[in-house]
Amino acid sequence: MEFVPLELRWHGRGGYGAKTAALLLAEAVIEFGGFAQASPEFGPERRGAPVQAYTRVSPQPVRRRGPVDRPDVLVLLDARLVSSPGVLQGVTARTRVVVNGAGPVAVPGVAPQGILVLDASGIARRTVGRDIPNVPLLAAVAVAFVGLPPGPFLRWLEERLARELPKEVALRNVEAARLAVEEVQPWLRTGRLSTVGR
Amino acid sequence: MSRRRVGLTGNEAVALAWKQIRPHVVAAYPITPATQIVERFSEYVAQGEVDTEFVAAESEHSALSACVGAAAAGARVLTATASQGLALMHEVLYIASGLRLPIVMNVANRALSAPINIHGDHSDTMGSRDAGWVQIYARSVQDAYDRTLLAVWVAERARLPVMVCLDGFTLTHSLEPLEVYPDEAVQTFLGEAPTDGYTLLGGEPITVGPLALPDSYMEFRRALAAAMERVPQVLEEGVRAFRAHFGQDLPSLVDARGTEDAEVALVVLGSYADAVEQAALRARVRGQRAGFVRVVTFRPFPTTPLREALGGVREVVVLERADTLSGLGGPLGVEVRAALYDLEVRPRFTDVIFGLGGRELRDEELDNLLRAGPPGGVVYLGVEGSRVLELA
Repeated sequence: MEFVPLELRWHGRGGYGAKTAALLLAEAVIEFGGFAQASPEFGPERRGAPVQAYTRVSPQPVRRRGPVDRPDVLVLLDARLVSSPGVLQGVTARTRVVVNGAGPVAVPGVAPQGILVLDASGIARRTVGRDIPNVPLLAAVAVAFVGLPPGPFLRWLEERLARELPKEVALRNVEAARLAVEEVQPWLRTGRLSTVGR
Repeated sequence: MSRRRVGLTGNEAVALAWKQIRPHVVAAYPITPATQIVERFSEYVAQGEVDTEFVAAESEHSALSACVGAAAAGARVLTATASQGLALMHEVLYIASGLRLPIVMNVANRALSAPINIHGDHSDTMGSRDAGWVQIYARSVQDAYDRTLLAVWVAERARLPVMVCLDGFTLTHSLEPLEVYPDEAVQTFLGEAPTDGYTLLGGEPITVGPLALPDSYMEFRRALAAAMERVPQVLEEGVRAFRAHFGQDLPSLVDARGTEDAEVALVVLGSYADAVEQAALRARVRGQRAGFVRVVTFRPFPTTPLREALGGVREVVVLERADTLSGLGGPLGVEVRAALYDLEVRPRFTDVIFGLGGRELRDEELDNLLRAGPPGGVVYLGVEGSRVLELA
């Protein structure tokens, strides 16, 4: 499949799974024939501390390394991170923002139609039983922005997660991903982000 | 040959290479950012996917000592470390090379203390540059995997230990596409380790590492230097065999691009080769004739290919992630200058020290350096002078 060059920056807190999501997205792109690179921000690993990770997607080999300074897509695993220092660095009016939130979220400098709000924590609580928002956000980003085909992506995710998680837990995560994919369908049909998740 | 395409981090790719190499012995002690190499490999051992004697040592000094013993017995031996761990191995590094033991070690390049820092630079392996180990620096995750396989072939034929260096975090923790060769192809490529029969388990009883006094010590050391001098030839044969088995081309000593007509050439080691090569290409677009040289093998030093690549260039800029603290700049710069000294027309020279302790190298910094023209001398890129004054 065709991939469009895309630089993504993920912001979360230790334990939310930002790094895992960033790496899984790159793995998926590679699996579907594209080129990708992902890396965590190289800080100390502590639960609760701010965490960043990066994913680069490309139809050709990626020849850049290091942090994503000007993200095409900014993913916030917690809506409260909007006001954290540095989180909006390099964000322009063209940046699209995917944010985990239960209600409307304003991002300074980004128009509402460029913001996709997804209640990833709610989905995770209902399916996985814990507030780990990374898999729903990963699924939303993979389908809505990277353009991975939903069905094959979910099948890949199930196979991939089952390698490291108990079958039952893997399946609950895949269910979380499936719900997230459903949530972004209206946007995929209308091309309008603002209809999603409100 | 059917390749499998996956996404793996540098550390995972190295661990996979180890599994495919099927070493007799791995002795190691974990340290950031090399930990996952050993961690992942120990899982392979625990799951019975590889039949290796895995020695979880109590320090890096012990780990390399165990490697020395095993290699002296004739085993195929691998280990990994970084930073302080490599520093603690320092004494044993010389024993491994002096005994001509073909140990292969992956080093996840990381800064040295103090101040303590877990991030990438080349201070650790540059501190081992005169220890008699071949040193190869990887450019990408694929390159780290490829060169780990190649290193075993080279070590066993050159009868020298080899370090395969991959930049801490930038490669060790970054996930990239990896073309994985079939297990059988790796085994066919490596074959049985060629042996000269002088091993502790080789039949005839022998002594390894006896005293060599002034009547013979110097001959041993000269022979070690001669072994190092033969490495370019062995590497050349190695990359030919690699191409034949895996269909993959690997530059053996240096990778030079666009130096033929270059007015300025950028020289670099390791994973920042991508950023630096891109900067040279952007300079070309601006109308500046820039060339790019990646030093792949730092030990032995690739003097001849560097002279060929840089012979007609007016400006040479070395970009490196280590310092000699001698006032002469970084180790790569010192040696590039030494290699070019005999040229009839020597280039103007700038040594740029960047990225110590993991500080990022920004594209703008490279572009500004090229736009303004290299200043000559030794430059510490991106350093805040006022803060240095406070600390000095």
